[in-house]
Amino acid sequence: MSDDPLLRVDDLSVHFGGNEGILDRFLGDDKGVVRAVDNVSLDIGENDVVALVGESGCGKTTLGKAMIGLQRPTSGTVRFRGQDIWKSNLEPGDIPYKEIRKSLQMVHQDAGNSLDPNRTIFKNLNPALKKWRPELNLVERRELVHQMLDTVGLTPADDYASRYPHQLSGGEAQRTVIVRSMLLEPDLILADEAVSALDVSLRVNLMDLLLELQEMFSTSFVFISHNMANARYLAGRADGRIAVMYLGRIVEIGPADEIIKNPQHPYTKSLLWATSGLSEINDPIETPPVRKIDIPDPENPPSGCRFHTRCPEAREYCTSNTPDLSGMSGPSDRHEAACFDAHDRIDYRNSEPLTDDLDIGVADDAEQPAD
Amino acid sequence: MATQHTKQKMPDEPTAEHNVLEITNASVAFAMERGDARVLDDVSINVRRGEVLGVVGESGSGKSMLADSMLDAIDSPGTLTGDVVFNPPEGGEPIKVNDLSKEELRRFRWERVSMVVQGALDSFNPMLSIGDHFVETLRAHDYDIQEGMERARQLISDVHLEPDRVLDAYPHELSGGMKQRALIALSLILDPDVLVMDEPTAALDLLMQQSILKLLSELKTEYDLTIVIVTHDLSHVARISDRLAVMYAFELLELGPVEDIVMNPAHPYTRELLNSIPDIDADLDEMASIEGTSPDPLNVPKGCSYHTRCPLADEQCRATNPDLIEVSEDHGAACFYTDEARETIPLKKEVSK
Repeated sequence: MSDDPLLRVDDLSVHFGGNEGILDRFLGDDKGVVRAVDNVSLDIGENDVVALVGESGCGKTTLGKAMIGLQRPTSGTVRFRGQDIWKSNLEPGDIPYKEIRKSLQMVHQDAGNSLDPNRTIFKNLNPALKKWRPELNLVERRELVHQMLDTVGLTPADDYASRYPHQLSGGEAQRTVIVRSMLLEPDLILADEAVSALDVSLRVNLMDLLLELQEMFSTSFVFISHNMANARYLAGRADGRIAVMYLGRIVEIGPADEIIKNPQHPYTKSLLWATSGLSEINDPIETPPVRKIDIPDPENPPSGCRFHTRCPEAREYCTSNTPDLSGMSGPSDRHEAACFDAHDRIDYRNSEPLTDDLDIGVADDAEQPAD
Repeated sequence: MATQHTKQKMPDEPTAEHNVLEITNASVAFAMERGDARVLDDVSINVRRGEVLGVVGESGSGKSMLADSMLDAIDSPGTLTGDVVFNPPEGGEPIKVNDLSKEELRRFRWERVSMVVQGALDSFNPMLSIGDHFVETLRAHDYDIQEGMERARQLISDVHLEPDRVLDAYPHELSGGMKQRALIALSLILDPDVLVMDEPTAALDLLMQQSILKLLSELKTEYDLTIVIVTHDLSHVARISDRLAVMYAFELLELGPVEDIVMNPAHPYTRELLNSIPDIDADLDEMASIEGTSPDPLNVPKGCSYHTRCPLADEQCRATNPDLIEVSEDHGAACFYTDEARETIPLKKEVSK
C-alpha cells in the first residue's frame, strides 16, 4: 500500500439545482444553486473514525455520499487509495469503480425502510453476498449470514434470518442493515444517523456494537450525526475525530475530546451549548450564543465567513473574507478551525464588531424565568 | 396512587386552586384483532398551575396517550376511561373534560388547553398562509379578528419571527424551526391556560430545539402558562421542567421534582435510563444501555411491567403491580424496592450540584 490515505477528499464541491445550461455557464448565472458541499478537503485513514456533525441542510449527508461514490461531485476529487473514484479511463493496476463501491458501504438513516418488506432477513442479505462473493455456495452464504447475525447479537441467528423486516424492532432492523453493509468486508462504512431513530436507552448499545465491529474488522467509519453527544461517544471511544459542518463547509475538525472540551469555532460552541448535559439541570436555559437562531437561505449563503450572520464574534472583516480551515497553535496539531477569531487575525481584530440585529435576546428585557 | 401531591411547590398564589388539571385513573384501550391494546394504564397525575411538567418515556410508553387524554383527544376507536378534570384559574366549577359535549370540547381546546401535536411541521394546511390559520382559528371560536390578529403579531414576534413576513408566508416557505415557532404562536392565540406539547422539538436541530425551550420558558412567564412537554429525551427537558413524570409500558413509574428524578431517582428503570443517556458531560466508559426491550401493548407482563428487564425483580414483582408510593416529599415511584434500587444501581453520571 502506498502512503495515500484510504480516502482523500480534495476541494470537493457538490452543487444542486439552478440553471445548468451551457449558456448559463458562460453568463455565470448561478441563481438557485444550492452549494450543498463547498470546497471541502478531508482525509480518512485506515481504521479511522470521523463523526460529521451539523444542522440539517448543512451538507453532511451529501458530503458523505460523495465520499463513498454515491454522489458525483460538481468539482474536486475523491481518491480511494490514491485513485480518483470517478476516473473513467482505467489503466492497468487501477481499481474499477465497482470494486471501489464495494469497499465503501453505507448504513442508511431509516433502517426499517432500507430492508425489502417482502423478503426474509436472509433473502435481504443474500443478494449482496451472491454478487460479490461468487465463490461461496448457498450453504456457505447462509453460514456467513448466521455468523454475522450472531456477532451483532441477533440470536438465535437462524430464527432472525427467517424473519421478515416487520418482525424486527427498530434496534434489530438497525443491526440487520449494519450486517448487510459489513458482509462485503468494506474498508469504509458511512453510517448516516445510524442511532438517531432509536430509543435513548438503546443508543449506547448500538454505538458500542459499531465500535466493536470497527475494531474487529478494522473498518473505517464516517458517522453522520446532528447530535454532539452521540458524535462524542463514537469518536471519543474510537480515538477518532469530530468534523463540524456549517452550510457546506467544515468549520472545525479535531480529536473528539479537543472539540468537546476546547472548541474554537463559535458555531461549534453554539452546538455544544445546545447539548446540555444533565449536570446543568438547575441552571436556567441561557440565551443562545448566536445572533440569529435561523439558518440563512442555502441558495443565497452569506458572503465571507458563512457563519457571520449568526456569529456573536463576527466583525466587519468576516463579511468579506472567508477563513480557511487551518491548524490551531495548541496541544494538538490535528485540531483545525476556520475562524478569524480563533486564529486571532490582526485584520479581524482591527475591524468593527457586527452588532446589528441582535434579535434573540428578548429575555434581556423580560423577566428571567425563575426555574 | 398519585394522590399525595398536596405540597404546593410554586412560590406564588398559594391560595389559588393549584392543580390546573387533575387526571385520575386514566386508561386508554384500543380494540385490536389480537385483543385489547391498553396504551394507557390507570395513570393518575395532577398538573399544577404554572409548572412545567416533563413527561418522559421511550417510544411506545404511552406518553402521547397521556398528553392526548388531557384534551380528551384520543383518536377513535380508542376509548378513554377515568377522570380528567380542569380547574378554571378564575375559580368556579371544575370542568370534567371527558364529559364535555362535542361543542363544549371544541371550545375547551384552544381556549383552555391548547396542544402542539407531534409531527407539528405537517400541522399547517399547505394551501393557507400562516396568517389564514390565525384568522381561521379566531373565526371558529368567534373571536374578534382584528383584535386577535394584533395578538397574533405580538405572539409571532415573541417567538422571534417577523410578523409581516410570516403572516403572509405559506408553510412551505418557512424552515422547520420557523414553522414550529409559528405553530407555538398559533397555539397561544386564544390565550389558553395550559399548553400541551408532544415532542415539540423532535424533528429539529439541537440549536433550534434548545432555542425553542428557551422561548417556551419566556412565553410561560409572559403569558402565565402551564406547560406539559412530552418527550423521549429526558436530558433535553430536564432544564426547563419543574417536575418530571417517567412513563414505561403505559404506566407512570416515577414522578417528582426534576432534581430528585435526575439526581436521586428511586425506580430502577429511571436509574438505568439515566445511565443509558449519551451525556455530553459523562465519562465515556460509564454509559450502558438497558438490556431487553419495552413490552408489546397487547402483552404487557403481569405484575410490575418492568420486571422483565429489572435486575431487582423477584416473585412479588412478577405477581403484583406496585402502586406509586411516596419515597420522599413530593416524589413517588412505583417500585417495591426503591431503597435497594438506589443501593444496587449506582448512578454512573456525575451529576454535580
